[in-house]
Amino acid sequence: MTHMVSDTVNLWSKMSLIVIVLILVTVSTAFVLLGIESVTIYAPLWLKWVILVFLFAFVIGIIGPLSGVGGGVVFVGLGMAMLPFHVDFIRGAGLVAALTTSLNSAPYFTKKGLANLRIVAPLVAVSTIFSVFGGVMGLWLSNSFPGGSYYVKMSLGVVLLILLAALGRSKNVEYPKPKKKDKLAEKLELRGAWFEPTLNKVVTYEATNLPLAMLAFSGVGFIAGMFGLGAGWANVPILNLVMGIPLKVAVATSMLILAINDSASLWVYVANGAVLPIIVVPVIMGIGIGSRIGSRLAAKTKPKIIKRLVIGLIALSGVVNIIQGLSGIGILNFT
Amino acid sequence: MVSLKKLVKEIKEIIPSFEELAEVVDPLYRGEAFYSSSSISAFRAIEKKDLYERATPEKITDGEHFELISPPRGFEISEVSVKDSEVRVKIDFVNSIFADVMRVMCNVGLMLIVLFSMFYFAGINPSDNLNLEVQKWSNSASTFWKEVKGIDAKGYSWFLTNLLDPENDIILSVVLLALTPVVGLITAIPRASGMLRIIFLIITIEFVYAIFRVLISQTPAGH
Repeated sequence: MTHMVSDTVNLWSKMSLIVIVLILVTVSTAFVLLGIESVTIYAPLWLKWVILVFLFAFVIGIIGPLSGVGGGVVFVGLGMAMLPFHVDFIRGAGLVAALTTSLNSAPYFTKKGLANLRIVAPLVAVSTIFSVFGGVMGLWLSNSFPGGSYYVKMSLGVVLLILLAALGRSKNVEYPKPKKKDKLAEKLELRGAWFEPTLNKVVTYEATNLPLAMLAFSGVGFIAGMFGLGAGWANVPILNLVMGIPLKVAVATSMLILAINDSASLWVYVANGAVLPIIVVPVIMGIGIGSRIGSRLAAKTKPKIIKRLVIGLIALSGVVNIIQGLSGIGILNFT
Repeated sequence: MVSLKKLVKEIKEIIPSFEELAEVVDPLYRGEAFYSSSSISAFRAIEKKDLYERATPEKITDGEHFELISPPRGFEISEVSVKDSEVRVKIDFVNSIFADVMRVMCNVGLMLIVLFSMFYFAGINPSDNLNLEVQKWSNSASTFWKEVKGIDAKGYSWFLTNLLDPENDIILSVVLLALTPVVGLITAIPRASGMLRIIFLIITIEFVYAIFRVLISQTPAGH
């Protein structure tokens, strides 16, 4: 195994690793020193925060692929519960992170035929406009009246708890059995094929239940835009269980859907000043590097403890967001 | 002593080797952003393992070097043909165009973000007061920009009018990433046909609406 791996790793990768390790060591050391010696050594406040946000996103990036839940959900959920930024900026950063991650891997899947543009097209025709409406609604809610951001937090908390219930109940099927075809899907010729190396054969598939899936995607698009979530957690079960698409194609197609949906709602956030570079840059870098490491580790092992940890974190951030929201609007009082 | 050796052995098994760690920074998929075309031999290890163990790689098109069975006409995803025991999975041209646009724009966008971030964090622009930003970032976006830079952050002119500010350039780079699907769709429309072309047109119109709606509407959050 080691010999095979060494064959595949080129000099560029080794050099990159050395650079990344040096950066991480420097950053971690600086963070520790700045934290301990903030009294005696001058360190700008912003630098401490940039490092902290980078490390926060980096850890989330690693555990995201290992748990099978996207890093964006964990980032937005935990970020809203823990970080001091306004909800506008957290959602903006969450969207940019989800967009860059999906844009990074979607080209490979699309070229290989795993992400099926013919299936994506009718779904995003619906979800794109709803994700824009979701973005508008989310920003309107947090800006139009006092305490609006608390309503956003509360709603996100509820969405996160629904997500957990969905995660617990839905069991994706690798190769779903063919279902009864619907006329619309048939007319649009929603079918495809790909070569599956683990089976050493070409797998063909046909999608069905398009009207129902379009309805579901309108809701998913709205939620994704409103909270700045990637929403792969919802896309994959709909594609797999409702439309009867094989799991591998569903995951790849979901990536392409995310790339299109997230960019549509991102326009709303950019046009309202909700993309803040001092937050966005460390988040992109942290999740980008972390998710790459997480994906590699996930290919070798998926420890159950990590999945449980992430489920626990989502549950915790859901509950904390609801409590913070209720406290903010004066229904709960913890003082 | 024996248990100590066993412990050391177990630790060694857990700790990844330098080669395995270096694999982490190797692009995950061929065709993804930042994948170097010169390193075509550097297959993803897992894929390579599958191919070695299960299949005969030379008989498989890899999706990147697909063979066009006939000139592209409309949408023909994954047409499969078997010729002399050779399996060829044809990937539609529209998929290929869209993927290329995504890859190029993602690379350019991310590179620009990294470049301008260096200027931004180096503090070359005196108007970027990062400490003040940290103190004000708990405010809503509109209040934040008013208090930090004295600007009304509505529409796009607030960052497009001063491109000498690296902070604005980072936002412009993010905009470039957000433009990716529109550019991909516009490039793919001429190659698509029938219903698919119509759907692509609808999505493009939706994007145009998403981009320009804020300029049409003047009320908070574009309402």
